[in-house]
Amino acid sequence: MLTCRRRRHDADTEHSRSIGSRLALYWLCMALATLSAALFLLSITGVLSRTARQFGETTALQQKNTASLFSSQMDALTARGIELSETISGELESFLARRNLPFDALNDNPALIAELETALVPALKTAMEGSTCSGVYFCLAATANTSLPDAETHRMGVYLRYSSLRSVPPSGNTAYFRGAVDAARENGLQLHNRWNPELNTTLIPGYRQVMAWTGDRLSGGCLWTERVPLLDTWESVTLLCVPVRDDAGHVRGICGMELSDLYFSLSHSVVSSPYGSFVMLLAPMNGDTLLLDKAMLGSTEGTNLFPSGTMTIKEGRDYDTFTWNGTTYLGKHQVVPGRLADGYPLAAVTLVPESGYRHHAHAARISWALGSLAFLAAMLALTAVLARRFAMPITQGFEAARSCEQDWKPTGIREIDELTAYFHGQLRESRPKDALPRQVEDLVSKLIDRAKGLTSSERVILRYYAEGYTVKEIPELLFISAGTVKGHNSHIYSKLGVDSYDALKAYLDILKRCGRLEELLQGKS
Amino acid sequence: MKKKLYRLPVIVLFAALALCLAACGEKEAEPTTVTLWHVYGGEVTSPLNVLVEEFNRTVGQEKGIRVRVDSVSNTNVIHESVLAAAYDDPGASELPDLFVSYPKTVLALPDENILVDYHDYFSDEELDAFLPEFLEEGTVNGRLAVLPIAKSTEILYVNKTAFDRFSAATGAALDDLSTWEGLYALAERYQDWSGGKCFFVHDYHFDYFQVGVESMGEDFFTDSGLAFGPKFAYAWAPYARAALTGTLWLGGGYATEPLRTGDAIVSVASSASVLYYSDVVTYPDNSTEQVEIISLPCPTFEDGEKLVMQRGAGLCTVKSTPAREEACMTFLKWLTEPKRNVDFVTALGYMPVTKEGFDDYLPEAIETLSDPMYASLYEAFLRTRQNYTFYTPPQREDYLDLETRFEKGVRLRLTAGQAQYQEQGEDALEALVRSTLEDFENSYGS
Repeated sequence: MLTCRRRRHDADTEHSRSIGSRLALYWLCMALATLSAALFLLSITGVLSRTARQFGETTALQQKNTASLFSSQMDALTARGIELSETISGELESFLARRNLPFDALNDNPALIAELETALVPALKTAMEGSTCSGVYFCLAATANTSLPDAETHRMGVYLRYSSLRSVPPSGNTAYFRGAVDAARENGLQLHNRWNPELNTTLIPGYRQVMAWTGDRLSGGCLWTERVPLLDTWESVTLLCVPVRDDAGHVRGICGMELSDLYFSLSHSVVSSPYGSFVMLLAPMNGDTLLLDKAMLGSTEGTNLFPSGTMTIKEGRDYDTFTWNGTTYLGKHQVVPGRLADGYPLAAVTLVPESGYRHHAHAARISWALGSLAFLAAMLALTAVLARRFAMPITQGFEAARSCEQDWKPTGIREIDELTAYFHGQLRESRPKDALPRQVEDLVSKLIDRAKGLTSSERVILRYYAEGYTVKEIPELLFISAGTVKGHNSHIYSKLGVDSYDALKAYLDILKRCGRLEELLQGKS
Repeated sequence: MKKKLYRLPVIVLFAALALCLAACGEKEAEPTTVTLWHVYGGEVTSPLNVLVEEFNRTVGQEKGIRVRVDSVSNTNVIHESVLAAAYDDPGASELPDLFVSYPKTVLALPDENILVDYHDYFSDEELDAFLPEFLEEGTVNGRLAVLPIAKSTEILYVNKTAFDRFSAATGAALDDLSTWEGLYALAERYQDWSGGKCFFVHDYHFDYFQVGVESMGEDFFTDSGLAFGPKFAYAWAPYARAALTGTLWLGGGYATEPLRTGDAIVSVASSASVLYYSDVVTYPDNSTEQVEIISLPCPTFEDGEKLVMQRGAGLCTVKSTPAREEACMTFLKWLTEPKRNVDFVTALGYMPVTKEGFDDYLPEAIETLSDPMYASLYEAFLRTRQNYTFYTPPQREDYLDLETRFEKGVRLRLTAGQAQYQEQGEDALEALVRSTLEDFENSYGS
């Protein structure tokens, strides 16, 4: 029979799995849990999120767009300015030639000046309408009245600009900012509220430089002014200055385009990003400082930035740090082609408030941390499950071995089942032939344990029961009343965990058969 | 025992989760930016821009609000832009959060509910601080859509330096300018004295006729248009005579322009246009002359009531998000605080809009005005308030259309008549006065 059982267990073991695979899985889960704990720690410190690098890449791309935008706008305006200069030169030459007059004949001749300006206004209007600018102008080295005190710095010319600008492309009215009144009226233009008939050259940085230029190609003589306030208005502008030459190549004046701060702001809106709003600036650079009071700012919506003071730059690996007015911004900058009248290089700058970047970095860090935490929890749960399933079969196996049961259930794990079968066999073989079945052995042992709580009187009565006396005979034997005997019986039953005299007799009989009655009666183990 | 084993990892996990959540910082909020279109300054230095910058630096910084001025123009330009945006015309700009407007713009909107009703944002106590007639003017169809921030009237500006030369030569007196009849008589004498130069320019021809006709007890409007009654003809005659002979400026643009170039020496314009007047006249040969510009109450007809136009746009707020609307209200309440309102309006030639501003702060502010042009203006304004009745235009949906057609049409008709007068001479003058009126009435329609 034992052989049959062993064969059956052998047959079951053949279909079992090895403990090695479960152990391997357990160790894998532990390793992954350790890894996720490490990931969690790394994500808390921000090593994993790579926000700085990503921000740097995004900013670099945006900066590339900004620089390209500014460069192309300035190049287009410069090209247009050169075209305008050539038109003015040609018109000036033919105007004077038709009248057989030298250039200096314009001086002290308001009527002639007005006539020339009237003729040139359409060219200015065409240039303005076809360009991404807020104004256009020209001035020539002549004046309507050389006897006036400021005649040296006042020059004839026409300056048109958009008023009431509120969108780009511009849809505002054209105001006649500078020029002869008659030219405005002939061309149906309204005088600007702060109109003057001539331009004040002291308010055009770079005027002298351009007038003194001697070069071959006009592009070599072009320059941009820094941002300057427009006299008597609330606006500031940057002006392109292009030489205007006569046929002999002498510079007779300048012309160009105007970019007002309002126009620039409307033209360059903020660019939204996960790090906040990217703001674009075009600023003169002095070493590691941007001159914001001379800079043109795109829209600054969502920031507190305004064109005042200076902004220091600290270059970094992934991005640059800009500090202005106690506030930190992050971004990139680069020099763009374009000569400034004051000699400073021009920088295109793209930046975003640091607070936006910090928020994004935090969010990334938190995402990594939560992700690795969730993975850690999952791995720990899996290892707990595996551990439980790993330990349980071992426990079951030993239980089965101890129970000496004939039919114990295999765990399905080959090594444990083999171990259990071996111990089971060993235990059964070592057990005496006349040994009580285990359950009975347990029962007897428990009864003897409980009997230790009996009193001496109760033991005496119990001995009489063991000797075969009945309940009725006990009062006479012990010279006590039946009620007392009844009480003792109740205690005996309760302490021994039996519910009747017959049950007690059965237990006493079993104890007698297995030779342990004295242990019960004496209360010893 | 098993439970104790599991307890520790769970506690650690929860602690880590709490750490993560605690490490989540709150993003520093970007300021709420609200955009503004206004008319206070135009192309020149703008006192409102200065106030906006002050707000942004102080209350705005504190409350995370930034007001951005996107346009400084005039009410006509804003009117066109607002309607273009409201009707979603191609290429129209986006509506700003705040814009200066007359009630006529609100009436012309396709849906006035795109504007907030200030009753929803100002308490009764706050609204009670305003002059009730100003609030009434800004109430359209029961909704307070236009918040008054400054009020103006029409004033007579005189280049006194040039007038004094004229007066010295001809005996002309400033008092002659108190009536229209006197003004036109002086205009004729000036033309003779100056060799044909223009004397006078009016910024609002429509207002001249509207207020003039009403002051003489006749209705200017009918249900469907204009009345063109006898008093209209009475007002037309001297006006047309002056225009045809060239003593009334018919050119485009504002009245400040011919005064700046010396092409006229007297003008009627909004009291707010003081910002654009210059005390320097520039002549074609670039020579300049420092002049004294004074202000007088607007002329009236001899037989008419002393009536003068009251005007003054207010600020409308476009409905958007609760945060932006709240930001707008914070700015508006700051702007209309009595003392600040007085400081603002006296830099521009307007009158304040609150009772406390008018009664307590304005008299003091007038005494501190250093610019003689402004001092003269406020004297004229106070005389106007004492002796005149303010006329408020009716709220009609077709008001703007009537006004625009009138201004354009009258200039065209009279410019054509002027050319005819120059061809036909003095003998044709009276006939031309009559025929230009007939032509104008016919082309305008009733």
